[in-house]
Amino acid sequence: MLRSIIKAVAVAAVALTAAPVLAQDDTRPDLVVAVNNLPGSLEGIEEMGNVAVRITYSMFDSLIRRDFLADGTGTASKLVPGLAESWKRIDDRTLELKLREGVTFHDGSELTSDDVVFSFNAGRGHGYDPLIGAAARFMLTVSHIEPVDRYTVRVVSKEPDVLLEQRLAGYAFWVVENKSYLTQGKDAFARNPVGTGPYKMDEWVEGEYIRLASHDDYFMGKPAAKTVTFVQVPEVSARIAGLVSGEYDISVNIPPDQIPTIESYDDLKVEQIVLDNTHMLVFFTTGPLEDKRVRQALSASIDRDLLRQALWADKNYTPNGHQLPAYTMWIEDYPEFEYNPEKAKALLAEAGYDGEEIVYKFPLNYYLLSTEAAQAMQQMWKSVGLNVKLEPVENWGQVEDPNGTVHIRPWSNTHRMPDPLGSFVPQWGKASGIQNNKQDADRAWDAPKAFNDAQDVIVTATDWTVRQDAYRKALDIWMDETPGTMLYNPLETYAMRKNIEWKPYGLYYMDLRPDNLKIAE
Amino acid sequence: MRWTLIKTIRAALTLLLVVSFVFFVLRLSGDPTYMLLPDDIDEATRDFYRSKWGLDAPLFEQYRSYLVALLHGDFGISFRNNLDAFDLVWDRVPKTALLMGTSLLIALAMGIPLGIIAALYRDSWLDRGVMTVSVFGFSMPNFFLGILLILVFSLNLRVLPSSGSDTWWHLIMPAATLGISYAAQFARYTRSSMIDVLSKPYMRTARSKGAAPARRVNLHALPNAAIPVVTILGFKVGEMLGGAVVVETVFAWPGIGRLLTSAVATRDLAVVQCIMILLAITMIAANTLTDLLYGWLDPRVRVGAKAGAR
Repeated sequence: MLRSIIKAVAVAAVALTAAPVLAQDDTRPDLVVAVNNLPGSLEGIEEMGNVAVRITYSMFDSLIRRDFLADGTGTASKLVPGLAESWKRIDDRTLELKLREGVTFHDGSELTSDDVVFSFNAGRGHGYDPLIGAAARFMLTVSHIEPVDRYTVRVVSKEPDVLLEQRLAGYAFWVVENKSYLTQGKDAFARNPVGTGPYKMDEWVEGEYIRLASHDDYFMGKPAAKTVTFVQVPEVSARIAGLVSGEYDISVNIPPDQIPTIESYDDLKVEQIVLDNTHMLVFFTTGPLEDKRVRQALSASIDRDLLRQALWADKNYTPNGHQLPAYTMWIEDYPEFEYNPEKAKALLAEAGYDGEEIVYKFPLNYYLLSTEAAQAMQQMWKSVGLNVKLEPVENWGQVEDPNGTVHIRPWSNTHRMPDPLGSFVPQWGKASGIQNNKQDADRAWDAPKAFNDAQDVIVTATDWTVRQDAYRKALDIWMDETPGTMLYNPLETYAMRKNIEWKPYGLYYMDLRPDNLKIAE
Repeated sequence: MRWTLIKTIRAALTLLLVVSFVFFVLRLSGDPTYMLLPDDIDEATRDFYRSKWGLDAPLFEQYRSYLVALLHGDFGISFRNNLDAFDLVWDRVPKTALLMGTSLLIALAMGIPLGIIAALYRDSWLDRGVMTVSVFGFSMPNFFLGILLILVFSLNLRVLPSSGSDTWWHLIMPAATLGISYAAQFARYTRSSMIDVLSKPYMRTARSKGAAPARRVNLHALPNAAIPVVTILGFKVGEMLGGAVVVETVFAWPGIGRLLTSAVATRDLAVVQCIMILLAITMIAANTLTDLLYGWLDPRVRVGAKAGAR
């Protein structure tokens, strides 16, 4: 008995003295990030909303990387080597990529072409009855992946695809570890994913936090923080209070009106980014909105400058047409969305609009500041004679209810690639929900044939000039038909301690790689 | 025996009603694919998940298979994270139980003595003071008091953590927020009940017998005054769960309340159902317990029950 007590005391003493020594070896700080919500899955292609990608982006890597900071903005679209050190076109359907040698996954195994083949081939994210359906729209242009040797793969697309490199740098094309995926199974992998990224899974307490630990052998260098903990804090004031009191190092999703509060503290700062996402309005082509002149008048009577000043402190912008400056084929001289109340009045007179009620239905608390924007727009519309009734509802089902009346609804379009194929074509094209409204066929936009033809050219052409001409043509028709309009790109604000050097990106990714995260003492 | 059987059947019927009501309300009030998938997703992906989650079957068929699974003890899988709904909910129970238990303790420990004091010194400055504070306590909304406490104790004084549940320190503000408003209510109920009892003839009898004031209050007044308070306690437990929803969100306390709000918002049916069933069971248990306590406090109820049994 006595012997076992002595033994236990000795073991405890050794443990007590040894533990601090081990801990002292690693002086890197623990980073705590307060987030509004945590994802349900960390399988990189299962959940791709903002809540998930802000974590998974630092757990996985893509073959080709989009360098968001190439021009310092956080929205740049330059392509740089990722897990692939080089790549070349074999033909207009095939891209050959040479993998970096010696890259290790979180479990210590080495990255080989087998992992790439498994990650991108049919079965996991696309093909007949895939494991996961959410990524199919990003992956369905891929025909198959061929391993050439241990470190070389070929990605083959179904049709000639000028955007293949961009696709590989975008959503869904993140490499997972083949064997651990197959032995764990999809659902277990989603809780304990194995990638090559700078941070690996440490602990996940459902509804409380997800803690990641540094992947010290990361191929881009040793990560700056020893651990990163994403803590779920739904309430904004608690995220701010915790930052002030020192519980958190970074807090996300800070509304614009809280920025002065943050900046009033000496040790805190904000980092802001205008997202690659546009808040929109959809105009259903029914009732009084059947006449396109009424839709044009709705768009022309919105003072977007005023909305941005009042709601976003004028820190964001409205794109010129359905595109972003970061697009590879950005049409710089494309006209801005016009604010012209006189023209709006003339259009309404021409259309014979007689004050018929127009219903704007929107779900409450879905888009940041959408209620405030709706109220302001209602007044702008009223001043040109448009009688718009605001109907806030609880959810999307009520907005789209086929038995109800709706003429306008809010929407947002994320520009998932710096190309119309990343947003304009999937959101407004012939396969989109806009042109194929499932709830009510009458609300579907009956797009002119010329619009869909021009979009087909954007999809299939391999000559960039031809593509750009078709893009301009499609944009012209879209602006003229006005099945919807753009308001502005929202601003995302992160609040953090001043000793943290970190820049946000336009796509909600939180990049915690060593080149974008530095923590001073 | 018959009494137990009737109680059990009644409880089962209540559960069935709750389950059916929640099922239809959630199913008819919104499509989970809109809540859980990005807003710019295509119809093909939406259909993939509708079929994966069994939302493409006719509503009655969905209801039937849900009930059958439930009878086998299968609460289903959360749409959101593919985890077993029961495990998900059960993991949160201790946190909510801790929060509510502590709050209830605060409410009773503060409310009842204050109510008694106010009643004993009726119409004095003490009584008025207690009642003023209590009006303030129960008319202040939970979320407001919570944020106020965060502002004072986390932001300005920096003495208490604003959110989370790691240590006992984390419990103080959420439990105080929830407890204080109920303390105020219990103080009022106790006061009025005590005032009522103090004017009863048996109190006069006790005084004329020469019983000491402390004895009169403890032995004669309190047990009688406790009856209405205990009755209300049963209801308040259910109401408190509603308050916990707000408090758990404000303080990021990882309990059932927060899980319920997020599950309702995403129409995560399995999780909502599981919580509702647990809540219904809790309410049924709380009411049964109230009945028993009531009988213990009031001998007339016991005698009545026995007389009825004969």
